[in-house]
Amino acid sequence: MRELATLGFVFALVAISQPAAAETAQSILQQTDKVRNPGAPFTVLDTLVEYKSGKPTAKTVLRVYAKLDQEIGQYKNLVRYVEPADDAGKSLLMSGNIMWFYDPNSAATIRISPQQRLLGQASNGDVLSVNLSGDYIAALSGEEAVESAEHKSLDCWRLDLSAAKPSAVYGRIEYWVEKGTYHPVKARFYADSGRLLKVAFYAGYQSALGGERPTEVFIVDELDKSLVTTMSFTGYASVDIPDAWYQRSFLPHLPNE
Amino acid sequence: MRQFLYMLAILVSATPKAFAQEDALDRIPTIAPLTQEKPARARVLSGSAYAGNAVEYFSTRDSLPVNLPVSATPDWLDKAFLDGRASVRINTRLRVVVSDRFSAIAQLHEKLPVDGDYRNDLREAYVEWRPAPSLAFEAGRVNVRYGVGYAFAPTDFLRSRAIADTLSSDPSAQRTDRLGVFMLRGEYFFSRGAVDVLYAPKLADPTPLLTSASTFNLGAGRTNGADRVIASAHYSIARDFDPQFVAYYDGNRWSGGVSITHALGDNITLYAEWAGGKAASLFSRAFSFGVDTGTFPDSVLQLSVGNDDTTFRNAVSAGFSYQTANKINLIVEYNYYGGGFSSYDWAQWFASGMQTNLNGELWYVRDFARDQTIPLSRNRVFIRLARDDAFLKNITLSAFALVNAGDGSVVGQFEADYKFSQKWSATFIAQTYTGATHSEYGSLPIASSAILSLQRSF
Repeated sequence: MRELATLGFVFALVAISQPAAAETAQSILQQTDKVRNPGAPFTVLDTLVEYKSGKPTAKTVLRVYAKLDQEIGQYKNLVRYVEPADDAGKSLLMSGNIMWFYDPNSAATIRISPQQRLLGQASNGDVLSVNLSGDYIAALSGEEAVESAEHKSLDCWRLDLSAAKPSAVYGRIEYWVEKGTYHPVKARFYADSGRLLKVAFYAGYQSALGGERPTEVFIVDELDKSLVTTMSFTGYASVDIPDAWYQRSFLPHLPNE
Repeated sequence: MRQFLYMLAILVSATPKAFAQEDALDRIPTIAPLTQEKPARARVLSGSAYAGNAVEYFSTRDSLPVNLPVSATPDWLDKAFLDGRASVRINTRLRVVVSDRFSAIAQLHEKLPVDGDYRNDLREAYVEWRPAPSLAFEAGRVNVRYGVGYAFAPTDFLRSRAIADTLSSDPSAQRTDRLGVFMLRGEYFFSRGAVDVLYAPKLADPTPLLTSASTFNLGAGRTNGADRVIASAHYSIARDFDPQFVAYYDGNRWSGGVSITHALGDNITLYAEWAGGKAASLFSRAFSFGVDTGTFPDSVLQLSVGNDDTTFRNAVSAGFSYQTANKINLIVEYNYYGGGFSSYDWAQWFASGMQTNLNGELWYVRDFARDQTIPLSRNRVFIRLARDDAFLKNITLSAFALVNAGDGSVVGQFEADYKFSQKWSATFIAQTYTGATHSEYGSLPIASSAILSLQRSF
């Protein structure tokens, strides 16, 4: 009887201290997706700066148009390069694993694979709106205090994400989500081989399009430890984006505003 | 008791741990405070420009199975160039695009004096008008490219006579530097596809092949030597099944084609393209063009196999692109061109060259194929391997081989591009043409070449 009471006490403690089971982990992941991605179609300006040994070496500015594709539960993205001048006018369409790239210099729109990185150390998934819950299965592996990019200690859930679809770019992701706010705080991205590729920190939470959203992401490369990429998201705006824009033929006409 | 310990272990794992250490955090550089920049305003003027100089060395063959009509392959060539592209946004619906390249060329041959030359290629100059979100019109010289093939795109019907001045023989460079066509074009976009129609009028009589390049002429005789109409449509029938159909009319006959792409996972993209229509053989087309442009007398038409060998001919390009996570890209592509030389045609070409005085006419056929940007031979295989950030950041290495599947001869190129600052970049290109003496690439006067180029962007 005493053992039973103890067991009941333990169950109660577990139930209080940890959201229940895998289903809950997936719902946490869905909540963080909502933090990173506004529900309505939107546009945002993304500024990427690459640092080598602490010094800036390249800057890229992108105009992103994102809209949820109800058919696949994933975001469709259109990207237009704004800077540097050499790349201005280049455009990218990503809809699931369908990607097209337009270069005004050759006037050619070519099909590319999702593995093709067009943005230095940042992957397409870092820059574009992606619902992680659509591509990964989450498991809750614990809770811990994590130091954020702003050097604050935040109580977080720790999620282990494993790739569930071919469109998942990484084999595994460790993901720390702040309890209560569902703000992503940190992520460690692994290749299929298990090798750690990079660590990302989400910061600069500000109110935009009806929610608190990260406006800064720091990507620390683990393959070349001298490399860091910062991404700043500015000018979130809700816009009506015609479905007709999300196709290869439209890329040459994508507006820069 | 074991159950209790098990539960305790779960409980402990769920307890917040001490502060998790992360050395990655220490590597984030000290940057400006996390403040919002003002969103960049859409620019009225955007574009890029660069200037550069390239030195090219040629190694030539001592003897050829079919001699050139004139021996004028230079040993050295120096090329200075100024290249720019600008897009001016008049308002949210109106945009003007201009793209141009000027090259000044000096070449040296041991048997010839230093020669000078220059050329200007106005690649694009057009106005784009978008009266509605799903509608676009363009008027002017526009570079429109259909198809998905990398080395050869059969439905790219506007490729003829569009070659501009280039350094690299890589098909991607050839695409970048080609001339647009003067046209009126309308496009309509809907949720699962798009349709477009263009009309490219005849603006001048076709200019001969070997016209002197020293000119600021717009080259309308090259790009607009005939009335042409193209109608194209693509429609997403199912997810990742979005074929594009193209119909083409050039004032004499219709052609048509279709292209398709499909992803196999994250790494592989498959693509295939077909075009077909009634057309004469390469021999006949070349000689007819030579007569039409006044290069040859009518009698040269008797050299072709019959006076009219027009029949339905197919062209196919199919291949795949494989991309790795560490920025390596492999392309393998097969090209078939029904109007190109068969093994029999090649045997005839070499036999005629050795037995007659028709060297000029025979080489003219090869120049014609190059000018039309069509494969000279019926079957060939293209392989390209490239890696971005190879060994060092901002170094791109690429190599390709174009193999004549009939005779095994190969044109190969290695290219290294290094962007050593935001403004400066250097390019090294080495090319070889190898094969038996009586083969497509083994019979060319140039055996190999090397190019070193330095460029500065503005």
